[in-house]
Amino acid sequence: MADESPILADPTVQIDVEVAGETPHVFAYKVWTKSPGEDRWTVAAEGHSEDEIPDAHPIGPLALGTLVAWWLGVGGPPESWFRAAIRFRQGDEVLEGGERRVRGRTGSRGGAVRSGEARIA
Amino acid sequence: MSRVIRVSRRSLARLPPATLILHAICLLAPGALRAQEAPELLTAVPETPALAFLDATTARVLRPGSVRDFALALLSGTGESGTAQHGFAVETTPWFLVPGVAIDGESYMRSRLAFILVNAQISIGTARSEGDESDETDTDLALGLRLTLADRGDPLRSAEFRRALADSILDCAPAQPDATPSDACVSRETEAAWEAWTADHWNAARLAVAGAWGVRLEASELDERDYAGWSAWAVGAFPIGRRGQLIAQLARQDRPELGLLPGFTDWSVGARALVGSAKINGFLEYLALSREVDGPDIPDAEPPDLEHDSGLWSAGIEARVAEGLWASAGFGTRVSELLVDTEKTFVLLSLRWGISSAARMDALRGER
Repeated sequence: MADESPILADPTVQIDVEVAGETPHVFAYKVWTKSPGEDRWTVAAEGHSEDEIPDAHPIGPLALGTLVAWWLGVGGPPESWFRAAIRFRQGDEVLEGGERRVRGRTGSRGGAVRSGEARIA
Repeated sequence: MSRVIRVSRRSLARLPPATLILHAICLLAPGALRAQEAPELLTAVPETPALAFLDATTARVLRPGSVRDFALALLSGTGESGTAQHGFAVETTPWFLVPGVAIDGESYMRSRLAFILVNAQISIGTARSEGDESDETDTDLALGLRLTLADRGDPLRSAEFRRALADSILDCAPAQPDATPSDACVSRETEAAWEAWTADHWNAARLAVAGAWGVRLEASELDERDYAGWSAWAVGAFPIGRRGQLIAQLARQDRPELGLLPGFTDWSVGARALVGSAKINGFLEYLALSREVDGPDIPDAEPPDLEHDSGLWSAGIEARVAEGLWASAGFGTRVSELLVDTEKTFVLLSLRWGISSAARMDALRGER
């Protein structure tokens, strides 16, 4: 998975990750973190658009150099356009580089997967 | 309108034997017995109204998902000299192109307006003008709009369906990033859930309308336009218990006199009753047609048939051979109100696209 552009964050302040669907598709997601020097990923958040739980999760203050990875599964009509946003916030502010827009279209069977990775800087 | 029909080996292998036999009969039947020439009752409004207006098909319909791609698609419909190209078609859903506008699942379920917006589709198409054999070919251009006003069979409007599918998709998530590819799992779960829901709601209530308006471009020049008429369609489906469905259609075509081609006004009204299941059913339908022809007045030429009304009824069985594609076998009678023709009974063997082909959120579909 390619390392995308960094997310600029204060390492002493709580970070929240929010997953927001912008089309009527069903979205499920999973977010991992990996601290500098560690070799294993830790699940920081998981859920979906239909679980009646707010899709914003605290993933803790993260040290500079921490890697964050996300996975988004999409279900809907075959070959339909979908759009979603993954936002990393501190307080009410979306972090610089912290909004990842995800778009594309589902396959002929109605499913799609998008994933990404970024470094906290 | 003829269509190229492709049915995958995988989908055929899953069909019950009775359906396969019916499908084989339809494919092997002599052309004279098939009913493609007969007017058909609509079981769904046209998928691309602009192409239906033009009575045209095109192998490639562009379905852009951004303003930029929409603009590029429109540009691809014009030649280097700025004239319209034949065989061009683009369809899109307007709300998706507006930056910053989001309609999530909750809004889609709760708001009728959001549902209508998501399913609203506009289409633009071009075709070589009928009867035009000059060197500077004319082009017919049409603009279409399709609106789905209600659909009780839409899985994405069911909280129960959405939750079950979301749980299944989440189970596909890998334990670690970069682990086993999960696309196949997500697609498998989505397809299975979708098919099960659709089968269980095959006779759900639905209502859709569509319209198209056209112009004739002289020598294909965009600024040399003649009004070329309009068409409108409405199709509603209503459940009858758990095993039945009634489909009603209303359609109108209005074409002005263009050059030597006569103008006409067509009406068609029909209804179809079905009893059966999601895969096989019996049907009885009636379609009433009316045509009024207008000109042209050519000296010493025989005047056109000014009015003609007819009706068509048929009955039989039909079986689903693929998603939205049905094989029909049965019989019917064409009735001429003017009694110029004697009643003609015909055998009906055909492949047709059913109402389930009017898939939910079609307007969001990507370019094929």
